[in-house]
Amino acid sequence: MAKINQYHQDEKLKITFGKKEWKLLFRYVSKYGWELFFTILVIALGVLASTVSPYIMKVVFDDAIPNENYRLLFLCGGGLLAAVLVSIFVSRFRLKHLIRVGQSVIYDIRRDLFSHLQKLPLVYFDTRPQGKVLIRVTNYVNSVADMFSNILANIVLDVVSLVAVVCFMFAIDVKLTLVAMCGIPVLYAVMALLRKYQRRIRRTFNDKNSNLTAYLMESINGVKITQAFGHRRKSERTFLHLSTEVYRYWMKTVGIEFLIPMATPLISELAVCLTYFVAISAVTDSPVTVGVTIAIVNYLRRLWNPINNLANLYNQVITNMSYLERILETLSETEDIKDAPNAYPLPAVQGQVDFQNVSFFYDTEKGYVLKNLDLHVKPGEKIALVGQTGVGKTTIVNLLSRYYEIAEGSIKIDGHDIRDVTLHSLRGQIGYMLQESFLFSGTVMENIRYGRLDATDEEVIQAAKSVSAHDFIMKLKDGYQTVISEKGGSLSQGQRQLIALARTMLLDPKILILDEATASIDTETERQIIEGINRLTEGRTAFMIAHRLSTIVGADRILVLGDYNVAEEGSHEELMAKKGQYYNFYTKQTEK
Amino acid sequence: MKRNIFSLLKGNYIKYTIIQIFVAVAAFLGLLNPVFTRTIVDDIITDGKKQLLLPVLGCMLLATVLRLGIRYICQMNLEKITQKIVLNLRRQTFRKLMELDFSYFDRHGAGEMMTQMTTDIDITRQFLAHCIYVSLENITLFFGSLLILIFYIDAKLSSMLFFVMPVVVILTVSLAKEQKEKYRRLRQVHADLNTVVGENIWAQRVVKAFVREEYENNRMAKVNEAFRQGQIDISNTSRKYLPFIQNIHGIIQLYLVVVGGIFVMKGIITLGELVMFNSMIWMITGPLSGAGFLINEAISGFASYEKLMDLMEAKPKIIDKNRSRKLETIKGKVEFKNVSLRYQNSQALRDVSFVAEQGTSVGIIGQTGSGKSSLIHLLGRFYDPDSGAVFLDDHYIKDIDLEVIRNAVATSQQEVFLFSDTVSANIAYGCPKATAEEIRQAAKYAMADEFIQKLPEGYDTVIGERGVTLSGGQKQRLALARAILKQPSVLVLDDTTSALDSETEKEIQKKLREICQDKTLFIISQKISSVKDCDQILVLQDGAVIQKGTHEELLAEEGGYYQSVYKHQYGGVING
Repeated sequence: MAKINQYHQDEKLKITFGKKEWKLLFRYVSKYGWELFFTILVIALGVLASTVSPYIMKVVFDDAIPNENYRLLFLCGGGLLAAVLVSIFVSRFRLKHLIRVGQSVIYDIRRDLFSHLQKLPLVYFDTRPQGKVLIRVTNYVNSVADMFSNILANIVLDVVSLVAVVCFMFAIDVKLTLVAMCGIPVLYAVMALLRKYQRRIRRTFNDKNSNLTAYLMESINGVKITQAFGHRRKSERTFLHLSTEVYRYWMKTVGIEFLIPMATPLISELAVCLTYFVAISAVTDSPVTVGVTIAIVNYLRRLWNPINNLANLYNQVITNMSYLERILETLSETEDIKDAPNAYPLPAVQGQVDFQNVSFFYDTEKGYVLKNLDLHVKPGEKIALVGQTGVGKTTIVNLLSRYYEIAEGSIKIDGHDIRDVTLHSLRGQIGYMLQESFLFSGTVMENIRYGRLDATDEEVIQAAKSVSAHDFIMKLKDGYQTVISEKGGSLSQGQRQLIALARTMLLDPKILILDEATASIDTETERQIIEGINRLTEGRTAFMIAHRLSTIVGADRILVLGDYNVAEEGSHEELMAKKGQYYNFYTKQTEK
Repeated sequence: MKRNIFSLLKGNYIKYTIIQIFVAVAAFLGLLNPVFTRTIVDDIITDGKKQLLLPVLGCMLLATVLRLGIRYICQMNLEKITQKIVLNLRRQTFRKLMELDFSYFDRHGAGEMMTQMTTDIDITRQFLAHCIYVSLENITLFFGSLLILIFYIDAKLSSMLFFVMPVVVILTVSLAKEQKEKYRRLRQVHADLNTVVGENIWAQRVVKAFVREEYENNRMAKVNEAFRQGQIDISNTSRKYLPFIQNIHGIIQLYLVVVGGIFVMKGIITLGELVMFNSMIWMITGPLSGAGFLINEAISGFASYEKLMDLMEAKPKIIDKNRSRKLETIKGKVEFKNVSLRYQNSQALRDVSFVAEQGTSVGIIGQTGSGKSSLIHLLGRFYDPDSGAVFLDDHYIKDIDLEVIRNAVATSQQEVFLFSDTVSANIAYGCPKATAEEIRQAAKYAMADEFIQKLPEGYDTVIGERGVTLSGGQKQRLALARAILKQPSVLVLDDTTSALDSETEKEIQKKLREICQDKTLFIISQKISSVKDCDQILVLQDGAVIQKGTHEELLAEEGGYYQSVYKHQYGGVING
């Protein structure tokens, strides 16, 4: 079993942002490439159009006004009007398309991230707090939306307008332009210096934030226990500690990030002063008109504006990259258990199950859980798995559904090795009733229908009746349409188990696994359920893990599990006659 | 009425105001540069006073350095204040979480609460830190520039700006009105997103067992699409107003060129003044065009604050009365008098009465949903009954401090919740001060010591959330150890041993009897074998006690529920 991550431990980043990651990102964006391209093109044209206006102003100040040329003045006014209209059109265009592209990209990323999670092995979920997975799918993905709508476009635009401005400036006066641009290398040096710290500290902050989320989620899920055990104060302290950590690292992060919007105006102002100085010294030597100076200063602001913006965008890019890293890391998490390349769908199952020489361990260090297990089950046979807690009863049925990969040997259903068939066809034909009953928010009807999505209301009710759940469901406020709160919170444990059972029954599987499925159901109901199961399992293979004799005695064959392997097997009578483990187990339970 | 969002600043009002004043000062310093520009153009270039150049440039730089320095300090301090508020909000909401009643959690999902405690807090802070700061900066810039323009240059030329302002205000207010509902909806979708993903992660085993990956993907697609649509809706509304607000600059510049040009030609103002005017319209239009974005941010902030307040203002119904008698400990006598309880969806208990003396044991048996666990919940006062009363040690339960009750009653549940921590920390959850020896002793009583020793790092082994790496029976024994370690006066085993094999269960019961001499013990079970030795057994049906007595008495009741269960559990075996 992989190392378990806890809420107070930072997760180690497993990927580096390399070529592969950029390629993946590019794929997401390129799907909307044309829309993005056209939008940016339109906006770029808009930027170019607005770049004309300082030039128009120059004409106004240098020609129109000094020469009292009214016609030229109004002509310039017309030009400005056109620029405004273009600009309004471009703004609208931009709002429409960029938001759509950005939201669509994160829609795709979230979809893929979520569906990738569905493919990951249970180990992935078992070894980390739920909150740490949750925050990636919701908050992180939301955060990077801006990256694909505004940030990306802004970078392109700022670069375009930068180039345009530089061209105009060179056209007006080469020397002054060169002077005006001398701040750029300085800025670059400053940014490079800050960048190193910024990225590292952002990552640490994200980790702390993720820890906090994990603890919060665990606290919400376990709040009843916390209250019942009077653990309140300690939980509050832990939470406060984690929040303070987040606070501390956030202040460190902004301490650096706020420097960037400070550095750029400072450098740009220096450049402006220098330009004035040079320009005015030049005024005496060779005639530089007022218009040229003003135009240069105007362009100077326009030159530094995109540079300022780029610096700020850079901040946002760094932030988003740190989220993207985590998202892409999850996306690149390997699915340990997946269909073989030439996997075929398992044909309709008859119910024969063969474990041949199966060995298994969760963790090499912890050693074998099962060793050389041989088990052959005929179609329609009902097998009871008995044994002390922790000997691996659940492991055996987990292996059958291929939640874990066996180390040696093979498991076959109707002669098909389970590793050769598709997971979908394998698990879809095995009904697995779990120890814990997980329900979803939604109606009772929807929860049962989870077992078979195309089932009619009639069939759902039939399934509920077969496990004796119908009566209590009808007593609920809205019967089958009663809305169950998140995780089935408003129902009792036994009621949840009944609904979960009905869900499995609806699937109508050829192979049925009941893992202590009736543990919290009263014996009377259990008897009815077993009758229902017996009716259903007629001619079907069933594996039952239970501690109640009433469940066990009805089995065709009882397997008593010892260390690593089957210790005893046989019918109830055979095992009783043997006076071995089962006999002891059985007599202890019935003695009065 | 919802509390004012600014009340969050309580205790920081003065500091917050001072910072905002400095923000205004910094913004005002920014206004000086155009004045310098005018000096450069009018005096230095046109009139050739070159000796002024260096001092003016020096002043320009000084103003910039000052402005940026003040800004940085303001931003950092503002960040500090608002982050402290966040810290405080987190603490308060978390405390709320710890205080609220079970019935609140029955109604409110984890996804909703998650959203309130993460995203909503962040967005609220964003409002206080960023939105207010930028607004103030913008307002200063706007009015400052306006004043300079009017008094320094020309009132007639500037007067046009007064016509622009109301237009912007109208546009902004309409935008705000339209966005409000949309932001609320988006906020809801965000919570739904948390619910879908949260449930999916939590129930991965079911998803895999039923091969419902596709179904889950569709469920996700729905909220994912709703989220995208919500964002697009918001941008559509923005599209109606924002472009006009944003391009106010161009319109004013147009006015400036035509009207200002004529003014200069007519000799009303100088060329330098027009140039200065030209360089100042950025400062007037900048703040105006930012208004659209700010209002979006503000509306989003209000929507989140509203939701946050829903949680902050939720009142736990079960609270200590001030006149609580100072009862230090509870010895363990329990009495129910005509207790009835109703949940949202169904009746849980009807007119339940019984007395359990200290040191005795009570077995509770009954069908699924018959109210067994509800009865236990009342014992720890996690719910209050709708009618009737519960007494502990002959004190009315509402007169006892909650903390005293919860310290005295320990429940070991059937569905075990474990925390992602070490085994020993999980056992010591109820009493963090327990020594390693005490923890081990409790584990021994719960028959958990043996398997814990076999774990890779023994008691220091970290188990995952919900202890998914342990078997059902192992988890139940940890929960039992956790309850035992608390050394409660009333110990409740809520179907705790359902996943245990009968041998282990027997042993545990024997050990429990040893340590429960003076404790009151409640055992809820489906198995007769678990309850038959209890001093009294209650049989529940549909929330009512239908049979009450010792094992022998109940067995003697012909045709009773107890007898039929007994026959089912033993009869077939004994006779067959």
